Amino acid sequence: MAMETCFRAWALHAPAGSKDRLLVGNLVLPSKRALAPLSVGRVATRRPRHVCQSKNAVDEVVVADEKNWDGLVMACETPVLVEFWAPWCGPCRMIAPVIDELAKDYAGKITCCKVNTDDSPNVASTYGIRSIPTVLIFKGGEKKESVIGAVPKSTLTTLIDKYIGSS
Amino acid sequence: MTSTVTTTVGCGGLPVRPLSTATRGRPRRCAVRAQAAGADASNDKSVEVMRKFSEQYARRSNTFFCADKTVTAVVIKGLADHRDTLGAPLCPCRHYDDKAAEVAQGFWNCPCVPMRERKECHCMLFLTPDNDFAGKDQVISFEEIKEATSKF
Repeated sequence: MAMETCFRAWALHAPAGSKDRLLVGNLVLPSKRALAPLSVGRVATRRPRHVCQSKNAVDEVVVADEKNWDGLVMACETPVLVEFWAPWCGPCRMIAPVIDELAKDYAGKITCCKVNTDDSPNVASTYGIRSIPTVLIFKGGEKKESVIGAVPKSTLTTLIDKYIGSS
Repeated sequence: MTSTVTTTVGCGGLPVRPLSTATRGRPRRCAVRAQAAGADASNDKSVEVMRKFSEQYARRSNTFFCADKTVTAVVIKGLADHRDTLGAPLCPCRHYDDKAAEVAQGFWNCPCVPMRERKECHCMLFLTPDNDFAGKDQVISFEEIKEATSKF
């Protein structure tokens, strides 16, 4: 409607011949544009953009939720560390960098996940999460241990070492 | 216990024409913006209420804010959000199956029962002097809170 109104108004006030000029203008090509010269300095070999990692190791914390929980945590062959957090939980802000470090330190040996309890309340309720932050460790799809509160990194490394050693 | 007063926030000052005659888009956009501004103002008020409560309670209970004041700021923001949405400052460092029921029960309304009885605050909002994470402050400014909580 608005476009029709605009067009009608334009048609009423357009000077004679302007329509033709507009159409002709669309057909004019920039024939004098110079072609870009080939770059002589371009290097012959370039480093491949994607470097293949032999183990496909993930070195960052993965967001787990109710949709990907089974595939990410329950079916995972390596032990899985899961941090349950909430946006306005102060201690969660302290422990988050620790989990990030652990994901890098143990890349390939464990998977580190985090669950936002506001977004995935059913997962949190299923595992009896009450206090936040809580860190769970799973092995073979089974919850093995839980750690409550913002604990030092050494507490978590001790826990992890306990489960990557045994097989 | 801090008294919780429910305040009504509306767009009272915004004239709203009947939908049948309203021009498409403009009034609705203004209304949405006004509502957002209203919500922000309301939350700011709750943040200020919870900030004052926290300072007062820290002094009264001889506890101190965390050496890392962003922890303090985040918890206060969480309490303010719950005050806005639930009517009471429910502890933001717990997971609940039914928040409304928890508010009614009151156990985890800040200051929670463990804090009142044993000075145990797992949020690290109120820390006893012997706690490893305790700082020296019993004050935190509104600006500190806004700065610490605006990034997320």
